[in-house]
Amino acid sequence: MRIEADKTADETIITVEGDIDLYTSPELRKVVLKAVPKAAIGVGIHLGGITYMDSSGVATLVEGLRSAKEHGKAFTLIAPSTAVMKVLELARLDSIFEVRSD
Amino acid sequence: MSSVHQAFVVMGSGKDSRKVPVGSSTVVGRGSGCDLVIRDLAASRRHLEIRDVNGTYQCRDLDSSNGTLINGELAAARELKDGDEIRIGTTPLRFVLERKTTPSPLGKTVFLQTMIDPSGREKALPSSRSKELLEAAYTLMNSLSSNFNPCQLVDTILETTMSAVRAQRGAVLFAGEDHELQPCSECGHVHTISDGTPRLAGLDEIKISESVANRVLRDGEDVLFQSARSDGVVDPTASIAALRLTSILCVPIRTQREIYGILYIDTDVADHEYTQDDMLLAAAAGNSAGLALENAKIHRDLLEKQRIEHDIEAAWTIQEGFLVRDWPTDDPRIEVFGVTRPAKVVGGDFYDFARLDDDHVGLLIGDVSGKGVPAALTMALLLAEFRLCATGAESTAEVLRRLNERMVGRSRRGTFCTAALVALNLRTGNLMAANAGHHPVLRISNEEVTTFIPASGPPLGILTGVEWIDEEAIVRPGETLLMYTDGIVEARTVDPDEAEGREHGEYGLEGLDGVVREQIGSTPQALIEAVLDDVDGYCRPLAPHDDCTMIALKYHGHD
Repeated sequence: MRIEADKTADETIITVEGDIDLYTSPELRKVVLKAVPKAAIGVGIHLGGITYMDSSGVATLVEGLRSAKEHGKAFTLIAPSTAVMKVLELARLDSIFEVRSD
Repeated sequence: MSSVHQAFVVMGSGKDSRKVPVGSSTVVGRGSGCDLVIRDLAASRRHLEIRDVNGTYQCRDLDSSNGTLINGELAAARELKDGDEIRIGTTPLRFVLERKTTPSPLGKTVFLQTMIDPSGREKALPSSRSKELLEAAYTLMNSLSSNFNPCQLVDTILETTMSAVRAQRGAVLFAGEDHELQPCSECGHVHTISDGTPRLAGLDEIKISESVANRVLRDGEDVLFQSARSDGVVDPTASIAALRLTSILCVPIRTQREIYGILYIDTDVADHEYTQDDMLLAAAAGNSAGLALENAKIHRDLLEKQRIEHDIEAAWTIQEGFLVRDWPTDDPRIEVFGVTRPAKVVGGDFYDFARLDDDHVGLLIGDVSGKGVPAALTMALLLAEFRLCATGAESTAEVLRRLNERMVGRSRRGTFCTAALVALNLRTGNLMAANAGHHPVLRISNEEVTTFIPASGPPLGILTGVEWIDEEAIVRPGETLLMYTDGIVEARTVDPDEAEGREHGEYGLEGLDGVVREQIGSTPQALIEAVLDDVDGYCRPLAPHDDCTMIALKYHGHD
């Protein structure tokens, strides 16, 4: 997994690539939970390059979403790959995340 | 002049006796360079010499510290006769003359294979000596590999190594967190042996060269100090001088990853010095001991892990107690059965069945995200809260809303829970249900198998202020409702033939539908057992990777 955070605009964009699993999700969690309170308007997670995501990745996104709600920030999934959408649909979470194409 | 007799010195008796031929000059003593090496701390390194002088054998004490007794008398020099007893310390030796069977072509029998190479280093050991060291190494290996008790391990290491190198004093010390010297963490004492006597000592009682000990502990190097040669292996330091040590042998007890401690041996006896070969044996002992201690540690961790697993199993027994198992048998209007089978020792799936009043029953199924203990603890909490939230609630959606608010306040690390709740009026067959991110409910009649009550909102525990929608329907007599979790429909197979045509290779609603159709008319229990069998068959040879949970209710109608 590769993580890049870009805080140029009002929205902090966190780009994640590769696999989000039990071993990599703690790192993503750290980055996301740190970015949320500091973001001007909100955080966008770019998930276009995700090849695999397991339930620990889902939990990480849910925790990010909850943290954003607490801080009054937006939390958006950007261009989620089919691997991500499949998992979100399976967990019936696709309706709770705000999703945009890019 | 060649004698018709061959002289021998015999040590010990019976099977364990050793018989060493006497050459033109044979030296007996504790030192490794002697022709006959004896393990007796009262012996000097070079204790006595027997010379062949024109066919007579002259024994001479080499100014030994404790002297030599010949036939019970202290003797500085004496001619030996056949059968004489020579006693060095507590070790008796016997001098024997035997008639030669064939004349030796050699004027002198060489048993001492020690040769001095130009650099002055010993090239080879006397064969008897190398055999002793090999035996000691073998004993060490054997005793260390089968023992998981750290204290016993340390004692074995000390005893065997010290006896093999004929050490005067020795101790095993351990490394603390900051590489400081520590006693044995098992018993809190330092294991020592002094002049053959083992003793557990306090750390402050131990007199050792700390500079040497710390160096070995820090760098993991073997250190040999010989005061006579003082060849720069280690600088004589203040502590060595203060303790008047003549020789120190110190090696790490280590594995490749970690230095556990040190094996420290020293002496203040003037002519007692440890050799390179002693150091090699000690180093081998240190390595074996490191491995043995690591084994002991792994063994202990394993026991601890087994204990925890045992605790978790016990926890599951308690948790299982939360789940209903006494299915109603006194109400002719319904049959109910439910089961949960965790993928790990404990699971995060749950179901519940409750009589709300005389004419109403409630069915709940849920799946906490994640697996194992965290999921199981959340599930236990949810079950308790469900009963609380159901009390006085007007609708199924209201119960989910209350449950959600409680869970959002408590959930950590993104834990959430899918749940579906059904309330059935047994008098009318009226059904009210709400679904928070869970699978739809399967409705099985004699004619068809359909799904209904799809999720009307996200799972519980994620966001506050979420509303779910109550769905209403009428259940006809003879119909069965089946609720299930991910473990059923997401079961996977490794058999490509089985997976053929299934979406993502999963058992899916398709698999469930197939087996349910074969069970139309079955009791809830028979239905659920048939589904579990079919899922197991689909996953074989593996076990299902997720918790498998189902609850089914068959409605027979009122009257």
